Amino acid sequence: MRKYYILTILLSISFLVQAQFTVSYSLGYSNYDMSGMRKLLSTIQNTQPAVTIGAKIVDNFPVNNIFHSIDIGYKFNMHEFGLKGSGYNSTGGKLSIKDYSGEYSNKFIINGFRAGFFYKNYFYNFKSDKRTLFSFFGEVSPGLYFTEIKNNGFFIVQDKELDSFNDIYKVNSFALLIQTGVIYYIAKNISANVTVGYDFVSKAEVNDFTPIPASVNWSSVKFMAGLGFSF
Amino acid sequence: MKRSIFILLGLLLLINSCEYNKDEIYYSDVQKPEGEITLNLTDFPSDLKIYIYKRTRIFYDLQLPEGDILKKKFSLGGREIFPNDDNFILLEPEKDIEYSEMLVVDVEVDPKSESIAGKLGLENYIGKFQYEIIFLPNVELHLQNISHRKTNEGYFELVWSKPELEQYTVDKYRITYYFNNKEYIKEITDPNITNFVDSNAVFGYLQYKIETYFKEPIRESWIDYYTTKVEFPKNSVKFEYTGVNSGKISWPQNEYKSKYALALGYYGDIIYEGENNFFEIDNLSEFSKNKFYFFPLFGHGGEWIEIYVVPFGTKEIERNMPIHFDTLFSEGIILGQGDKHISSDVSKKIIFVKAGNKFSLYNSNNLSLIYEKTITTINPESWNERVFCSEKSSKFFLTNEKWIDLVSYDLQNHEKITFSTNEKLNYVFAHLGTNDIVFIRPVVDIIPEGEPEVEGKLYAYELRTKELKGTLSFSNKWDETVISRDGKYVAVYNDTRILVHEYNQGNFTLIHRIDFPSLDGGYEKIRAYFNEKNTSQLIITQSPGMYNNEMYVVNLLNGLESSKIRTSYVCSDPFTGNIITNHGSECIMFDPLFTSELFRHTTTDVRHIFNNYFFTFGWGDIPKLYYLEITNYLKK
Repeated sequence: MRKYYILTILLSISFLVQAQFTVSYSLGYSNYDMSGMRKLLSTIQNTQPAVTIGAKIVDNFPVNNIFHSIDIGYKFNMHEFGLKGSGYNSTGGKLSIKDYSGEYSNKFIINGFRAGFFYKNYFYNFKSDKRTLFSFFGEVSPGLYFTEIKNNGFFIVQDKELDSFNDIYKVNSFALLIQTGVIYYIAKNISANVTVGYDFVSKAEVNDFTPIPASVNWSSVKFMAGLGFSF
Repeated sequence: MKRSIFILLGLLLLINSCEYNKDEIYYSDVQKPEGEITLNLTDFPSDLKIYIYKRTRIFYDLQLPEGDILKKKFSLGGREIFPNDDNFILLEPEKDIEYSEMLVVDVEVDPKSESIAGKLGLENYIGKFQYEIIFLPNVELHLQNISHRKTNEGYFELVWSKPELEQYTVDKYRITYYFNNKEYIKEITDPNITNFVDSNAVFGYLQYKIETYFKEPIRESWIDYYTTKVEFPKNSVKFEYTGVNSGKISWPQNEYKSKYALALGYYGDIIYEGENNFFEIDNLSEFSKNKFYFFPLFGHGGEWIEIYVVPFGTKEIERNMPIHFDTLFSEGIILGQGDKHISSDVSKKIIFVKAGNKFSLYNSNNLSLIYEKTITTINPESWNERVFCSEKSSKFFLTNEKWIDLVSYDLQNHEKITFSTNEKLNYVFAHLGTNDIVFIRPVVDIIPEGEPEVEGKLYAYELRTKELKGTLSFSNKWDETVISRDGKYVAVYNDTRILVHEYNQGNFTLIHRIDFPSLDGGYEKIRAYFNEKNTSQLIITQSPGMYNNEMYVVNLLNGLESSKIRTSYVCSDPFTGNIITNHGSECIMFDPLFTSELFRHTTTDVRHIFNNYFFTFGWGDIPKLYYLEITNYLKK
């Protein structure tokens, strides 16, 4: 819930700031690395009791390359800085088997949300009819990656619950996004932009799992395209 | 402004809806294994008490579903036991007292199920069977109280008690028995029937094999034998005279309803078959004709006989049927062991019988016992050559080698007497006349061959005074001497002549002489006797016992001789004077004058005759004095 509070505050601030504020929404593509979780899931599969009962991996942390990003900033001249909420990703993995005698389920849900600050420098502006038509900019965005690992499951055999768990682990990671892009001003207050960059994120690890820790590596190349609104 | 808020809310909704929520399930399509573990412990349901009385094989049928056997454990009282490969458990009491232990069978089978539970081993078949084993070591595993009794109808009935042991449920009884060399089997399927009537079982060695079968398969059948004997005592077959020419053979009445048959001789012909336990002989003379002695009827040693005792309804009597073997003796007086002698006192109508040292006095008219006693001062093994009755002094006179025994008629007094003389007397052959004169010769010494003949002597002593009353000398001491019963006549004879002397008051007077002619340079054998009643009758047998024997009598009072008859003298009756002779196998009785034949029968053995009673001693296990009154057989 915390992420929602932060996002709400940022958006509220953006409403409070008049005229120089910008709000943009971008739809992005990223290719973060879930191999750590896959390895964990595979390891669990090969340990008791999953290995004995033949639990199958029915979901193996598919990477959802699409992500959403919202920037709220304050722009003046060629500079813009503000808050950046981006990189919300959610994926999951699951070991499962079920038959007449029982059911085994071990499910992971990984949620990741990136929040931070950004600074954009519009280092080149192309104007036409005294109106800036588009601008190229560079962006540096330090931030935190809030990772939530949900692990729930149960093991019921012959109507007897042998195991049941529902754990949530939260890990915060430092992130630094460096990207460049171009923004096209469709109208005075409306713009469209595309960016490309790389988000450096320290690994999110949870050591409560055995025999290997759970780890998520959110670092990835990011491509985004979005719309902006300024007021 | 409102637009911005809407945009912001839309973004929040978008964010919220993005949490990964895929939730697939892998369904493993495996079949649930069907099966169960069953243990069939020889039809005993689980949780039951099993009673073990002896070493017992408990067979089991353990049915297991497919899979790996993880555990198959048999334990008794907590100790693991190991069943036999042939699927049985051997249980045996190991204490002398009653006790119980739990038999537990634990079985676990992994059905190799591919299900989750199966892979975890939670779907194994588990069987646990428990039995309380009660050991009862000191129980008699046989039928009890086997016995027999007689039914009201008179049949043999075998009875026993029904087994009342736990888990010994009688299924049936099988009785094997025998009759007439055949085996019979009777099965009784009602366990409450504990008796069996064998109408064939009437006599002999009865053997029954009773097999008791039980409904419990673990229980071995019981085998019990019951044997008994229905028999008659030895020598229980009797012959008795029912008349002068009739008799009856009888034997004990059998305990069970029976039919009898009588066979004479070794498996001889059956001469009687019927329900009576006796056989009457209406005509002894006819019955014995060409078959038996007339007297004694069944010989000295008895006649081997068979009494068939068979079931009442038997139609044909066979040799294998139950038989009482016995020896049938003619009716007689049972005597003790030892030497046997018989003598008589005509005046007192007494017949005296001596057997060893047992003295018996009988009435000469009906042979009723007057008195008997064992004379302990007489050696029971002594042998007396001659026995006389002193009619004058009422004493029995018994000759011995070196003395004479005198026993009073009342059997109270016994004395030994000898006579004073310089010579050694031959007491053994002493003769007592009814005149109480003892005639006795000296012992004859061996004379070397070629020596001249030496005269013989016969002394006459008075019994009462032991005084020598007279002496008869004769030319040859090897001559035979015979004295009449009354002591009045003495015949000295050899094969060439007979010299008859009359004794009177110590004097011997030659009153008669008979000379026998020489035949081809030799002489016929001569035997001379005096009639026991008519003592003046001299009886002469020439060539006695030979085929050419001849006998005649001489009346010493007138010298008349009877005609000769081809027969030999045996004895004569001191009461009647009747004369018994034989020729070959024939017994002939003549009148006292030897003029007419009174009786004749083949194979008749008469050794003595008193008052027309035939007597002969029977020897063997049971010494007897056989007798038969002959009066009514005599020709009129």
